[in-house]
Amino acid sequence: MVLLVTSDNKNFVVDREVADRSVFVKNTLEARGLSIATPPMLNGGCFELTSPFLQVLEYCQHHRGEPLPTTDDANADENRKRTTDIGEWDRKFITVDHEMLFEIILAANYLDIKPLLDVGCKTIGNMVKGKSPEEVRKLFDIVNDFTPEEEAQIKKENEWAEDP
Amino acid sequence: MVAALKRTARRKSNIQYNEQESSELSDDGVDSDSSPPLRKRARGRTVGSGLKAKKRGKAKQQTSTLLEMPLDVMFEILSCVEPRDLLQLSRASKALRRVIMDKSNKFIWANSFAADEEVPQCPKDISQPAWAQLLYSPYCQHCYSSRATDVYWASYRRLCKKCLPEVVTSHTKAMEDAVEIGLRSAFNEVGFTSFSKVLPGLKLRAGKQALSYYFTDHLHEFLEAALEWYNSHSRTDITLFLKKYGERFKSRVQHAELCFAWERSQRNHRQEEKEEERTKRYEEVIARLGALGWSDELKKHKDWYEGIQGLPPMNSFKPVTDKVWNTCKDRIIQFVKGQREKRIHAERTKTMKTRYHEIEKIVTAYQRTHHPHEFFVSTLDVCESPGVCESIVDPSDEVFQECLARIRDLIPVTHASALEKRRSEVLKLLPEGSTDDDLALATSWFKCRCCGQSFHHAGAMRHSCFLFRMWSYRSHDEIKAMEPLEQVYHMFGRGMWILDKLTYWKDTAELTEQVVKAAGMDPKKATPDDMDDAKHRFAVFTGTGSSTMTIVGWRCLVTGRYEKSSGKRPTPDWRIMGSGEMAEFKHSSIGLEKEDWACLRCWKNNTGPYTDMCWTSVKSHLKEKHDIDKPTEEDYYCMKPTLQSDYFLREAAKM
Repeated sequence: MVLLVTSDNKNFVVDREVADRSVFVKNTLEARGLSIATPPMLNGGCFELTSPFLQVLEYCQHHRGEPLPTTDDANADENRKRTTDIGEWDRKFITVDHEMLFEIILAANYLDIKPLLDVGCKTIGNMVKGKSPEEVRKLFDIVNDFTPEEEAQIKKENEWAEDP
Repeated sequence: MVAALKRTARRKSNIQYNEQESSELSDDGVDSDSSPPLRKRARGRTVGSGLKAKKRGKAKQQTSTLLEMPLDVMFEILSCVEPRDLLQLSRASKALRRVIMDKSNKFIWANSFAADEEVPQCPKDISQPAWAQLLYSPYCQHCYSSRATDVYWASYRRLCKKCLPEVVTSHTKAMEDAVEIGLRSAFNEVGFTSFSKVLPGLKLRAGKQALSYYFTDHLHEFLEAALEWYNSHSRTDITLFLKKYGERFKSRVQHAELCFAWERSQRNHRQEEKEEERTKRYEEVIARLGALGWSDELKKHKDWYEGIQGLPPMNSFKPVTDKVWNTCKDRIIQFVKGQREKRIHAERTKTMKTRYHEIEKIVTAYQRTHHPHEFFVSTLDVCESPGVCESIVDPSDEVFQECLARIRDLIPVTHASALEKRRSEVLKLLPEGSTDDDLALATSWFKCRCCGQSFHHAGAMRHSCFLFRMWSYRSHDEIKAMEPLEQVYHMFGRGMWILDKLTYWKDTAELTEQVVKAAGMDPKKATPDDMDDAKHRFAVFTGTGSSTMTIVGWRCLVTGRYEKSSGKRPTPDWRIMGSGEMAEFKHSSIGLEKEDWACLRCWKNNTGPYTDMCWTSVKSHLKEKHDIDKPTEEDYYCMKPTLQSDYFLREAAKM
């Protein structure tokens, strides 16, 4: 069993097998030979870990025992991106509001849980699929900072941006 | 290779973060060894950070969570976005555009393209965003306003039909340009006459001809390169240059073929997707209608799919949510109500037609007891009898069955009254002072002003033109409000028998009088049957000389059917033929095959096909169905009584 303490001092006791889904936690535990891992507290307000952390734990619980992706395997890295299909359970799991989705992605990135990061990124990819710029703006609350002239111009320009 | 590219780029970008954040991390007092080296949240380097700096000092902007993502996370996200969507994302905001269109981040595009194995590879001489634009943006790359479906893959451009002529040069003009810059001798030396093996071209129609055109920029590029090569190689032959250019073009064409195949598969795929989406929406609409209590009505129709395609929400790509459904519910229900009305009306019409055909069977059986050339009542005549039409339109089947039981008794009565009524109507058309007996005379000819057909009174009384009415559309409510008889008339586009199109044929009557006299009979007594039985034949002279002589029967003579052209005919020059002349072809059957015949036995027995047959068919029919080897006039009859026997006599005269 492993005790995980979040940045807001909440304690979670989980199986080692579950905790090891996070490469960060796994490496930390292995490096220190400890059973307690405390994720480093970042500057206040970076992200509230508790809420997404519960979600992350749920994901890790569900996928416990599954083989972890190896960091050196280039093909595996390719394959995981190749498809935008998401498993049934993962799809239901990731059906959350945008705020939570981004928090899960950040948490997955921080804790180095590649499969979860992929699920989050693919979900975003699916969300923007077939959408116009206006629809994308609406979806992610993005302010249109192009002038109408610029907007007309960028339709014509599709070359790499000039280095400043 | 792509993975390696991505890893390199990621490493590069993360190195920057580590440098920026190192001080920040050490300030927190956290052991830098324990934190993940590549996956720290970068507060200072987000996608929108540059933008925020610019907007500082202005009104508070609502920042997007997406733009707040650290760059490395953003790269992860963008790597999962398809090239088409990357293109759209790059147009959503300046910050996103900066990230996506930065050449140092081109691994994003590489990953995105690599994720789809089917998409054609980006050519080396075009950037990935430009390639994505060509593949996915539906707009013309010349005017950027019109939608363009034609992609010229070998020249990497999408053009609308309006812009195309502006960017191409004809073959003739291209050759003129070549001559103008001094390439005439170079081309002549190697016999170069066509650009089609070195440049992407197309055929455009100019009148009936299809002329070759080439994209102007490609052409100029080629001509300049050719000239440069020609000059730099001491003006020797340019075969090698053309070969190299041709090879480059060949590889382009091969690539273009792949692109074209991909485009076609995309189009098919999109079509399938659309169909799938449409089916989903359809099923949703049907389910929602079912929930509103329309299930029974929905089951009564075979297919609603085609019907509701033009209605919202079927004609849009939006999923049928509660909001969408509420906006279009009324129209859909209105449509379903309309369909229910149509169904009820169609079922009612079907019932009416079925009942009418049941009556028709009985009437037909009655008709067959008469010779087909006699007068007999039609089904519509029977429908005019009291209670018949009412029973046809009555919803109750019992009422109709009761009526059907007395139809057989009604028919002779209707026949008698119709005959009486019509006979008196037709009699009115004869010259003043004519009596009923005059109607039966061979000289009493009538003609339909509508179709031009001529007949004696029996034919006139049952001629179908006098029942036809111009059909006009009536709404279901209007039809319901009609009288039962009117409803039946409307169903068949018929009406009550009216004699307004019948006329007495005076000229023919006068000619017939002379013909009857020539046959040795009294025009005041001779009937058409008397004339037919006498089997006289007449020689008609339509010009000068014996070759213009035609032998015809009396009906043919008086109605002028020996003339090829219709219209007003001159009084013919004719004579009755002597018995000696007639003997040799009187009983011949030559030419019978040119007429339309029917089986009289089938008519009387109400069996078999009652249709037009050629002479050969009627003979084989009589043999097969009725076992008759040598048919007589009791077995068959001519469908056109006025033409009977005339044709074969005419043919015989030519022999």
